[in-house]
Amino acid sequence: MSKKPGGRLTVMVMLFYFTAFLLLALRNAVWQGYALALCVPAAIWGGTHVLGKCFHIDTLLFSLTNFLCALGILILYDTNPVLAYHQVVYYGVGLVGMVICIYFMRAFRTIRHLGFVMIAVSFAFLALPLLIGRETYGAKNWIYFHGVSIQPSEFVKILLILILAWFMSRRQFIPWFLCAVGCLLFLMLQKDLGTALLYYGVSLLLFFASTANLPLTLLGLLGGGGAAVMGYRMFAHVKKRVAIWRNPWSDYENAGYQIVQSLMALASGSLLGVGLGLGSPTTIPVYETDFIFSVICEQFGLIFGVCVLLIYVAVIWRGTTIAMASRHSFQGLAAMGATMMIGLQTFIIIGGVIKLIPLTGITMPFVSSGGSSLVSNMCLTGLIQGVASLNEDDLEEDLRLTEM
Amino acid sequence: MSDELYSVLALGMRYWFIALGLLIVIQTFLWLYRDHREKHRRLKNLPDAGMIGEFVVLAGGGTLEEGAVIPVPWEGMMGSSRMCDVVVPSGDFAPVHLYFSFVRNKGLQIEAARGRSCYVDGALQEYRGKNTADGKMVHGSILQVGDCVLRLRLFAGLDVERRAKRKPDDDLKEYGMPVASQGVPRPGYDGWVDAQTEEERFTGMYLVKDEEQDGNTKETTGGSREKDENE
Repeated sequence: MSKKPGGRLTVMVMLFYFTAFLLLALRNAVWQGYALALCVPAAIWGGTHVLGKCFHIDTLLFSLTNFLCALGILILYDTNPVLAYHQVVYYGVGLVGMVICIYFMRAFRTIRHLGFVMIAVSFAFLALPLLIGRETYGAKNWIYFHGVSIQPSEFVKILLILILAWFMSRRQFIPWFLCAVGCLLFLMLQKDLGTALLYYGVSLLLFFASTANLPLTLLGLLGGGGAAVMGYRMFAHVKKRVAIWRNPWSDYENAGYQIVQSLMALASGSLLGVGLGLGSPTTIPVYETDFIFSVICEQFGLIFGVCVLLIYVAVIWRGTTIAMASRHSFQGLAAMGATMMIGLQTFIIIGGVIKLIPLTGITMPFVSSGGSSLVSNMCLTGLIQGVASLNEDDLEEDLRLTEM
Repeated sequence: MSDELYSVLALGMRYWFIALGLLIVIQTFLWLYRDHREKHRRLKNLPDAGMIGEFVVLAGGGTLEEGAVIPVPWEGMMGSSRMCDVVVPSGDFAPVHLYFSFVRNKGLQIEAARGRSCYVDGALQEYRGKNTADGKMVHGSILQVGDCVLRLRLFAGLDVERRAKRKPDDDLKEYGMPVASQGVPRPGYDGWVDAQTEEERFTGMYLVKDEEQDGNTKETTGGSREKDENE
């Protein structure tokens, strides 16, 4: 085993997935299972080493995101193999998106006039579901194109972070405010309140990271609270979700069925889990997206669930460190925004699954099934990796100058 | 494989997966801790690592202490407000006075905020609309705002190999700035800065000759941190 912590971590992740996929392959006795048992660890090793040779990427961050992505593929392969194969393809697309984002951050130190194009594209993307979208689970946030479903708000996340970071680096508060409010209005019209909460939280956190102005941030938080009360009164499905959150057992056969099944899965998993491939995870409605954390806890146990949470904490820690080490405000804020987006999304969905906060229909970053979510989260990681790569360049330059 | 055998195997493997999960988390946090420790060690050995540079106060206009050092860790805003990236606690500076961005191998690009102005190496910099900045500060450049006079020492992004072959004033000539060795006139400040040698320009050594009202000449020498500490 390698003496470097990076090497040890990669070996452990590879070992984890080799044994897990092999176990499932033994149960199913199909060649795809054996292929995954070999390919997933090989892809983790290859990705870490090949990409690391092309750029100064942050290997730890890359290893952690790989671990989370592979965990999603593993759970999906256990419950619905077709979704797992799709997820493998989305992961490949996500890797390409990540490399593009790394290149983008390295090539564009500022976005200047490109910012206005990004705003126009963001608003157009957010308007699309209102024009040609279909309502799913109470929100009209999906568009369907030649049999492929896309959630535009997932991709707008990336553009929004770049736009907000650009405005905040220039301390242009009015354009920042208008842009954030514009996006939120579109999401309110789509009734996509989970994503609206995410956009709002990230805009506010980015404002605080940029200005350190606590009174105005608290005022913004108060405004958000007011908007949440308004949303509660305006939308029937929000009222319903709050009622279910308060007492899911009052209507456990209908509205509260999903959250009750999730809680039962968490309970049946206990500390050590029921075992990979065992239990009945498919009884939870939408287990593959919103409730995938319940499935993880049921099969691997709460101890492993806490490990997954700690890995998210490490991702956020690493992202924040990279953002704070940047010498350029735009890049630092972009990395901070991307980190906050991943962190807040994780908190919202896991908080919903364990009944800490009302459930909102967003995905668990990197793990949940779905191409839009996985690709956009990989792109967000690409933004962070791009900044990490620039930081490494700066550091190398410093060391070179010091040695001279 | 039969369902019974698989159940036994899966139940047994639970411990293996949990152990691996815990080891992965421990390795992750060990990695984070190692990087944190390395960063501290680097900062201890190279205090300037990770910084763009610093401003040395040549004249504080009564509010800033002469010789004080204001670090420039990253690019952003400069002003007297707490929200600025470089805070200059002086009445001469507006809450947000100017924006500066870091250009590798060039230095800092200065852009005055709306309604504000400053002097970079004697040349007036005013707000001329967004993204039209032409003020560039190289290593050793002088920034004047009101009575405050600050000198920039750059740590990062200087292509020393290229610069070493150049004449001392080439950088200033390149940006159309007054040549420092000929004495940089600074409006509102009765003195000039001499860049004595090329070595002094790179190391941040400078000599300020300030002719006072009574005709006596006061000399102030500023230099690298170690030299200041030795003195």
